[in-house]
Amino acid sequence: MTQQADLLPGTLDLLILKAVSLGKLHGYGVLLRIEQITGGALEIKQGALYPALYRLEHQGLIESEWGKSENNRRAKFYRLTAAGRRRLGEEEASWRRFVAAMAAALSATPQEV
Amino acid sequence: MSLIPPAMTPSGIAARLRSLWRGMRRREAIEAEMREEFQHHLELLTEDLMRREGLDREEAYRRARLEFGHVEGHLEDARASRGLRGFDKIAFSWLDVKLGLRMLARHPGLTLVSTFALAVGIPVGLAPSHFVDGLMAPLPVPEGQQIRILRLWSTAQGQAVSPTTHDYEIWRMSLSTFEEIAAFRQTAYNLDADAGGSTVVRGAEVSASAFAVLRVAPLLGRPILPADEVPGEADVAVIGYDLWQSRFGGDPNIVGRSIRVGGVYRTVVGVMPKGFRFPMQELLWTPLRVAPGRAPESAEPVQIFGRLAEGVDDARASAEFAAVAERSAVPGRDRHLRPQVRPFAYILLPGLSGGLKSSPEFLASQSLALMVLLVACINVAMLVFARTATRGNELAVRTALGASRTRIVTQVFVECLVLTILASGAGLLLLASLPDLILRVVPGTWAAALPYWIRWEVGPTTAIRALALACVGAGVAGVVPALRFTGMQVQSTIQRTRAGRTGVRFGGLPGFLIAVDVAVAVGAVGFAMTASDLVQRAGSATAAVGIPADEYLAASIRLPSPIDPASGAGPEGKRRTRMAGIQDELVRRLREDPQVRGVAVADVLPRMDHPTHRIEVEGVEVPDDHGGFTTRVARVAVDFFDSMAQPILAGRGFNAGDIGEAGSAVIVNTTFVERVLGGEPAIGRRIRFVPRGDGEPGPWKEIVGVVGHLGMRLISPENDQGVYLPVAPGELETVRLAIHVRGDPLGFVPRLQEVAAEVAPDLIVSVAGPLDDIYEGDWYLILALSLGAGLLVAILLALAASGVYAIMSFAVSARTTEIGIRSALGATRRDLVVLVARRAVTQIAVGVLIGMPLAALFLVNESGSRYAGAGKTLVVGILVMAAVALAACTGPTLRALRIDPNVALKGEG
Repeated sequence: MTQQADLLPGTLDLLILKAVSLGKLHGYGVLLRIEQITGGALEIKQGALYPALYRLEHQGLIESEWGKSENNRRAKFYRLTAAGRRRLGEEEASWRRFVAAMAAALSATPQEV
Repeated sequence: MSLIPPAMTPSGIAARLRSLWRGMRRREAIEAEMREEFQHHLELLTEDLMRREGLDREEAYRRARLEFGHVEGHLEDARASRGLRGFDKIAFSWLDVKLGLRMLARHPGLTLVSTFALAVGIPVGLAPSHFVDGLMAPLPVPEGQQIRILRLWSTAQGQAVSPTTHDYEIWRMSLSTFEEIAAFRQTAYNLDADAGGSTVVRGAEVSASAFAVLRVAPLLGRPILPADEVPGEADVAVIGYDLWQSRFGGDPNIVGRSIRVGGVYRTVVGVMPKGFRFPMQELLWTPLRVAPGRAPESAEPVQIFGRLAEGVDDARASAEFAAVAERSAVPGRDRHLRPQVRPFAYILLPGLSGGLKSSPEFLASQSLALMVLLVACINVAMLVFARTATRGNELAVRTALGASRTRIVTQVFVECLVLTILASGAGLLLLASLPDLILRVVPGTWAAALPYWIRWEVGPTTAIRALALACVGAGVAGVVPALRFTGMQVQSTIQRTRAGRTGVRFGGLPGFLIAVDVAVAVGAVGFAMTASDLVQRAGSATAAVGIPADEYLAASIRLPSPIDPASGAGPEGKRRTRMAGIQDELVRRLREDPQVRGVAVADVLPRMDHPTHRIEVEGVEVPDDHGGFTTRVARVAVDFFDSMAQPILAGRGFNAGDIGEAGSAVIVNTTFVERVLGGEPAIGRRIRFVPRGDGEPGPWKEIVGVVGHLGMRLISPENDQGVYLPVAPGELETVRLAIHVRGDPLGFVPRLQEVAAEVAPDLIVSVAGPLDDIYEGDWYLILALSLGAGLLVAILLALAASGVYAIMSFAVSARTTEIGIRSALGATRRDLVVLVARRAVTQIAVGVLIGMPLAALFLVNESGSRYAGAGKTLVVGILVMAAVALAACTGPTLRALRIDPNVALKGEG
């Protein structure tokens, strides 16, 4: 098992948006998808998932509909809205800038300053 | 790094509101869905654990529950993330509504008084806006809200003046912001059907473009076409559905039939659909014909309207219109004309430049109406306050048991909301039936004068306003008391309640409100006294007017205008000559009739409200800031007083030498002599008319005679100082006739129409009815007004009394223990009565003191300083309020006296 990192505040929303941008998912599926795309490096607290999903739905970034799940049960599936897709793009760019800045900062050597 | 901050874009806000609305509306369903979703999650997790770690189902489920965490907690978090947690606290249930209804049933007196107060207050508060909105409704034609009138506002005269056919031609060619422009002129026609004699029909001359602007196609045939506008072409008419049905029996072959309109045969070319009238109530349309080559100065007045082009707003249309109107300006015409683009309903408001809602009259009536509503709300608030006070114990215990403050305030709010919504419903019913009630009271001719587009149904806007008022009312009446109660220390409330008191004291505010109540009531009594005085004096005025009004038939005659558009030069001169001939001939033939005792001719008849003018009297200092004396004026035929059998009290009557340019004789009435001339001899004195704006006064005129009261002003006859001017035949456009008939005046109507038709077939004869009916029309209005005022006063008194009662009753119950102790210590009944009544008497005395100037204000305003009954009115006002206060105090005082000292001391009273 890979070593698990703590989730930065606010990153859960971004991960959820990314996860559902890859295809519509039910709540448990979102959890599995995040685990899959992070290689199990980030641990999502089960209880934190749903409030985040409802918050994003409330903001109009994702939308939901009821359908059949793999175990043939009624399940609620989430997918990205147009507003969500726009937001994901903005957040991704912002995140990349942040990572680059952090990486540059952390790789700085005494000679460079 | 932003990391999903709240997206406050418009679409983000909309999404939030939608989600919030869903969450509130489908609260139970959404919660069930969340539980189902969590359950599904748990099952999948369980299956995963079984597969991954080989656990049995029971153990896997236990682990899954452990990992997932507390379901109720997640539910709570989920609600919070939907923004619904705030609503949970104030969410109310049916139980609150039921409680509210139960409270209404348990306090029937309070329910009745409050519902009554609000059911009257709410429609009164809504009425001004409601009626104005109804009046200003767009024409009920396709896209009627796009129709505007184009008018010229004279800043010098302070009113709109009619544009002319000259303006119409230029505007129509030049304005591109309007899809189409049309002109019309209202008129009346004598319509001769095959049988049944002629009747007067209201109609309009319209340009062919009018039907295009209105976008209404005829039911049968065709509308008026541009070819019909050419002078000399065949005369045509388009008729309305109702006219088609009533006068032509719905004849399917009406198109092509020839009918006689104003003595001219016209071919009916079309029938308009049911319900269509234009511009107000008209049902007959003829082409508006403009004689070619007419000089701009002598162009005829018309009304001009148009339909805004697609996508054009008022600002753009106004800007273009201003530029174009400058080009059509005629030298010599009023230089202070401002072109205006206004909604069509403004044809009713030639005297208003801005909107009706910004007029001072509207603002005054709206604030008065809101004042009534405010008084109603304050009183209901006091009643609820007192009711809530008796529940201090219950509320305190509930708070102690853990009910949140929000919860309790919500409950009291909902209880009040039940009351105010009930009252709003009753109020809306009242408002909906008000137009019918009013139309039943006012004479039928008034109702017929109202334009057909008026919509006075209670629509969604009014209902929403009423609902908003109900919520505000419930807020004031419910939330404020509840906040005060719940804001106190629970323990002390319980202790105080256990000790036989209610939990709160009122403080100064309700005491002040009682004083205001009483003040308003005293003022209202003053107003009612003035109104009733007015009615009495108007009643006594009947006796003062020396005419047997029930023996006279009032009618008016006029010629349709223009009499002959093709004739060209000098239409006014020609009209006068013709009218003079007609008038002389008609009066002569009527006087020959054995049924007729006399015929009097004037521009306005006795008992009608005469127009006022300002005059100067030679040698009399003009009273400052009035700029002259205001006097009533009638223009009468030289034999008017003889025909009315009125003696000349001093000087002489008019004679033929008095008419025309050179004539300078006037006759005044006795009131004029008393009030304007101070009782000095009138004959030989000179007066002249002063224009209202800036301008030269008219020529001096000499008083040659004095006559008695003939009823120039119905209300307050002492103000009817009047001047009579002689008028030559043909000078008046509309001539009024008072025909003194032997027997029933109405029985003479067919004969009058017959004679008129013989004299001139196109003469328009309107019968107003017996002269005393004209009087009664105004009389009903006064009666309705004073009844309304009386009702308002009764409401205010009832409200003041109930407010006083509620506070008194509360004050006594709050002092039960004190009264018990006093009684046990030997206080007499008299002492206790004084104790209880002292507070009420003080508050009422303060109220009366504040109210007296208010009442005096009414009295001075209404009648001027000469009114002597002011003192009497105030005494009556004070007595009425004292009686109300006595009645309000009696119940609580008797209750206080019945208290057994032992019971009171044990704290169970």
